[in-house]
Amino acid sequence: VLTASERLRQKVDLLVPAFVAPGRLLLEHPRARELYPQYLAASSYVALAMVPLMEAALERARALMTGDSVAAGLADYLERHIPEEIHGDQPGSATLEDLEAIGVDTVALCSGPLPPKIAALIGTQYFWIWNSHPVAILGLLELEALHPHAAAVEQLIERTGLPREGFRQLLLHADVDVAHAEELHAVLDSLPLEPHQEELIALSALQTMAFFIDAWLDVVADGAEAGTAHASRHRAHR
Amino acid sequence: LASNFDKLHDAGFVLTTSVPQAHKDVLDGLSDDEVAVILEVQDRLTQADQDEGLSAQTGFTTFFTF
Repeated sequence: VLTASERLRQKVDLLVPAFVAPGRLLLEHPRARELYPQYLAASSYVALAMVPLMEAALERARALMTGDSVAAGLADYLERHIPEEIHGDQPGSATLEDLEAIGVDTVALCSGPLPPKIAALIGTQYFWIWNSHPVAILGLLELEALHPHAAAVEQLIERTGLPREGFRQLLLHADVDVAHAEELHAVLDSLPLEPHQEELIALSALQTMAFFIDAWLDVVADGAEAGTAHASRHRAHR
Repeated sequence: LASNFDKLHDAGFVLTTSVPQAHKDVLDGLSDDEVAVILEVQDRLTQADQDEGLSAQTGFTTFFTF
């Protein structure tokens, strides 16, 4: 009999070939140097929203935990995991530093309108947390099992010739997310999830992957203006 | 009613009918919402595949799982 994390993984695996395709296309792209800042910017919105989303899920889980052992287990996990994901002085600050190192205008990124699909992804997570069950956040966190690989990041650094400082978070997650994913799966397998909660987590994971596939393809297909252009007006960095 | 396998095959997500039963079981275990997300991704991949510039530059081909 499969565990909850194995059942989730079966579904996530369906989209893994599509999920890794844009990164491979970027690596092979003749304009990889120009496109990487936009690619990273497209990824950064969720990185910036991750801790606030987990904090909302923790707050909701604490409110539900009396009489809800899934919420209680989730709260216990998030209390441990949120500090691991802060990365820097403020949540998301390390992500912004990487973007600045490769010339992305982070003020424009943070104050401009969100690309609609990104707003929908983040808004959907909040909606589920407050109106369905905060355990939905575990689907978003399944991203930790889809972390970059250090060798591919090193290839990208070489290919783009951009400063290594623009790749620090990718390299960090290539390292720490191996253990984070193992812990996430152990938590999934320890929670007494109802079938509808497993479905919610799987839908959350698949929607998150679909967003990234769409956003990254916008960049590598050189429809690059779509979505992230407002945040990617690089300073001259050649 | 079409099975999930049929829907995903018709959409080009699965390109062959000779799929192991275990894989068919995974597909048929998906909820309607999960199938909808996969079909959306398949549409996006097809759109990218039809982008002439992308194909010429990168040799992009449609991805399928099985």
